[in-house]
Amino acid sequence: MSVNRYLPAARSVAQAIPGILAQRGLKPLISRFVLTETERGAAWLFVVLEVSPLEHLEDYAASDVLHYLSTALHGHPVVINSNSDGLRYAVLLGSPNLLKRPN
Amino acid sequence: MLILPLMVLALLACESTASTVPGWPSAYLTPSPSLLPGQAAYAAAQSTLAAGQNQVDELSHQATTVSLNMAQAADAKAQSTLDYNQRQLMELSIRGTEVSQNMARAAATQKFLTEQTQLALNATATAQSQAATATYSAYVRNVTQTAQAQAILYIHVAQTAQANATLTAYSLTATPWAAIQAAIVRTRKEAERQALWEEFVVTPLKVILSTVVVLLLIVGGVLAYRRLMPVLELRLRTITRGNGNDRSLLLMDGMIVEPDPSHRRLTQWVLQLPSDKTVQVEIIGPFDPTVTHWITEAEQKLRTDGGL
Repeated sequence: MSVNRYLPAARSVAQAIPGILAQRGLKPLISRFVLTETERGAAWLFVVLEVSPLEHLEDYAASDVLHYLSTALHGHPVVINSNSDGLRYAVLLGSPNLLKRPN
Repeated sequence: MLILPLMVLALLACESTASTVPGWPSAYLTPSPSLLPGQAAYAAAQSTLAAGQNQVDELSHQATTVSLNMAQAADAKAQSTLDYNQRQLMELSIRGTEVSQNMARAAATQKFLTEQTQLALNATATAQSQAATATYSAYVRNVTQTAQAQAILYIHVAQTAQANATLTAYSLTATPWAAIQAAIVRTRKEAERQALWEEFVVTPLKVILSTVVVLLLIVGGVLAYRRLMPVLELRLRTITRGNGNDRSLLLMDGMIVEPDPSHRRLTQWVLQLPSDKTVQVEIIGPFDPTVTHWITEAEQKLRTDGGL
């Protein structure tokens, strides 16, 4: 199945995230959006940040910020990834497990 | 030896015959300078001198004549003639003495008159100088008095003007009718000033403030729209089912769809995304090393957090 079916949703989330971060008092220092879909059918939207060392990285990685993002995105799981190559949010747009979750 | 007695006799003869010379002035005495005016006295003295000189000449001539007669008489040995001539010489001598005295008096008179004239001239010059000085002093005094008079006049004019102003002010404010008129004028001026203020300040200020308020409202609306619209879009993007199930619907190709292909159906909400604010979303396959690493980390994090 093509990942393009998630593209509109990914664009919507991409448009919403800067405003949501701004509501939390964080600068939307976003460099790129990357959409991908795993072999198991999980669609991820990675929001790559370019936070300068002068900014407080822990503010972007705080659990309440992640919860606020998830809530603002109406339940889409949001996790933070940070390593040597930078800081990014990972938004799960679709997952077989979620889609097949029993009612 | 004979000539000297004859000269004496001749002088005596001239002296004695002076009163008998025809045509001479009857009085030789020079009047006192104090009794005659200056010019007349001087002329009289001059004529006295001239007459005296003529008289001396005449006496000398008569003396010569008498001396000749005496010589003739001597020759004739006429004693009577000799006596007569001797008496005549004595009279001439007396007369010459009187004439000399008159001449001396006339010269003194002339000198006195000359001195008096000089004194008079000096007095006149002094008087003229004093008069000029007095005239200049009077002129200066007049000028000073004129300036003082002008200053006093100016003061009077200023006082008059002040009095007029005071009177005018009093007439404008003190009397009831003037007070009413002043109040009317003041009210009219106040109204005119307020009208000008309204026209040139208040009204433009109101227009400007209204425009600013409208612009602020528009800008605020635009900012609110840009701020809140993403949230509204997200709320509309994910729609929960009516039975409380939190399974999410997905927005796909601008439409809200149910992710389950078997139950996929179109919903009644359709979102039109703004085309001008479309963000670039890169689509990368899961086999890219970087993305593979990101996926691994994200799934691990999600499992750790208990999401999966």
